[in-house]
Amino acid sequence: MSLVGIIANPSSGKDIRRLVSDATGLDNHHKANIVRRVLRGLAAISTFAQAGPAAISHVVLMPEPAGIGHTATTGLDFPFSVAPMAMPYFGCAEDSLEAARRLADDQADVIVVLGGDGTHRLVAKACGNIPLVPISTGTNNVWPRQNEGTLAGMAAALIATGLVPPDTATRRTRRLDILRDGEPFDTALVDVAACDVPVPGARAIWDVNRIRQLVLALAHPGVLGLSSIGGSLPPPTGSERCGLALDIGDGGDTVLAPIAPGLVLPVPVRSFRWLEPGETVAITDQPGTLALDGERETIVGRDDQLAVRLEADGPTMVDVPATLELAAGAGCFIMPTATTA
Amino acid sequence: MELDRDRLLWLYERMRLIRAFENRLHDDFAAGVIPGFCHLYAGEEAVAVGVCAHLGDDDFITSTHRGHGHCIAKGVPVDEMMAEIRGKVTGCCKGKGGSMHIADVDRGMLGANGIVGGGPPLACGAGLMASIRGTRQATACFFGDGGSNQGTTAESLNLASVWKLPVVFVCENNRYAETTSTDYSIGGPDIAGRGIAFGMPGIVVDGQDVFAVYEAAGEAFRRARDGEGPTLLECQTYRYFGHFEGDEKKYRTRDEEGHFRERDCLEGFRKTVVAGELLSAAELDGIDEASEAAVVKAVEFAEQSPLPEPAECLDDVYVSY
Repeated sequence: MSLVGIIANPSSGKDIRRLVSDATGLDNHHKANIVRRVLRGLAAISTFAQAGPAAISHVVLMPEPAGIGHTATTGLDFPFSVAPMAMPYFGCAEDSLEAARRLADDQADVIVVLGGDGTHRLVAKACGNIPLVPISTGTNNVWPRQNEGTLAGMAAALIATGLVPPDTATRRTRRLDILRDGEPFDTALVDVAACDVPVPGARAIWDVNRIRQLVLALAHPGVLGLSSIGGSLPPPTGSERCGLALDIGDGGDTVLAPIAPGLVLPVPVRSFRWLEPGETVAITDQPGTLALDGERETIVGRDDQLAVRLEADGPTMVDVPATLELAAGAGCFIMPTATTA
Repeated sequence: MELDRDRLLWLYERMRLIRAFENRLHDDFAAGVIPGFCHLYAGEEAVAVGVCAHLGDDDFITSTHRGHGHCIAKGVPVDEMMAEIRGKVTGCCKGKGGSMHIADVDRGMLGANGIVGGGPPLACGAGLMASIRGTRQATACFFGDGGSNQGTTAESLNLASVWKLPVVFVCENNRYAETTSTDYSIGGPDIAGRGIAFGMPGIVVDGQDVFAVYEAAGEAFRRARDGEGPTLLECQTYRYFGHFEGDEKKYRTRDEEGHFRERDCLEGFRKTVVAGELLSAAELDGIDEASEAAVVKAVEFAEQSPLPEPAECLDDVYVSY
């Protein structure tokens, strides 16, 4: 019997970037609709797998004050129990972290996450090795893919039931550990930016003139956000794009980078170096704040000894199209022939 | 976001003064010396202060039944406020408005409002004035999660959007409309999304963090003054006391209250500025003491002020056109 968790962050996709860029909002009714589609996808596959030992028995949803789960489940019957997780909730970011922690304790088989890079970062901090099915509903969506809800639900069910072996359709992503005095105390999935804004405030960072250093786990030109600055540089010859450390400022090339929706800006890159897993970058620009995955989180004092280390063993992501392709190849979608008397 | 030292000190001084003012009213109401109803703002200080930090005397705010914090953030003197709440002739409405109808038009505070959803149409009026006259005056329209469900609010959001009025709608979502939880009173199910429905940006802001409010409001007022139209800020916050003084708060849990007390805006400010070496703890301690002293002085001023004469009962109450 298997357990699937769903974490839908009601606050994702509603930050200040709607005022400073062309980012749009995604209201909670839309998120509820996505969760409904996820549940329908889970239910469809679960029906096939009901006879198996790993059939889905429970689906639990992170409770939140916006009522996304209630709206998503109203009027539907499922071949498994669907319930909100028994946890206190306050409608804040910590809810996602707590939900992930409890799902890890309960040994969930897969977690479907609706949010942007920030939400996925919080879940990844606590979920351990549980595979994540990402659905992007945030502003910066570098880590989470734009997966359609129904397909994401089907893929989650295929992984949870073992119809598609997890090791065939998931991949381990990288992460960036934030170190204080050599000890990790926080994590990012995509980018860490040291900026001279003194307080976290509205958290999002979009003014590249305030950024001094940037460390990337992922640098690709096909993504939006700070990691696009590294993505705009030519990749190292003969190897895949790896991690990257950049000093932002005059003295080198200036690249054109899509920082936020509709916001394509010139960014001066003083210097950069490619990183392999295990390499550490010292944060030398102090004081200010560290932005993790595009959101200012940590105040950097004048005497703080902070560093960022690229690690290879980040969270496990389910590749939704690959999962469905493997399932189709194995005949998982062929309906049983009806028997007649 | 630019934050100089004077601005930081102002943010803390205003929040701290609101807290001291409301705590004193909480005690005085229990002691039976405050006439009429009182709806206290303690816990939500970061919203009023983070928003009003961007306003000058010639800008406007409209308020709610929970309006003391808005008044103090907009610069209404606490002496006159305390006298007003005690019904004294030295009050900013000569003692005839009380807590729920306190106003100070000279300072752009267009009035607390006993009618839930009463403020948004006033804000549109102020915005239309600025728009027609071509000034750069802006209006902040405070309302609550309960007010967000009123027809007047929806009409005002629509009107402000159609006319691109320089109004920033600030929803103080403190999770309860009187005693009714937003869990089952907000259709949609989010308030920020309603701005999008009316063609304006709607964003969610951490209303316990004055820096988050300050930064978001700064961008919203820039849009307003530059002619880009209205914005809806849903500031998620929490009131420490009941809906009204005397409310037993049976509709919420101690866990919930504890969670938000742990995220207190004053404590959060202190941690942030001390960690960032922006202000010292000693400076903040000094503001704490000064705020308490200012409220003691306001109470003394109110106590020593006379009540209005019965013959003045109808003076300044009605307006002739």
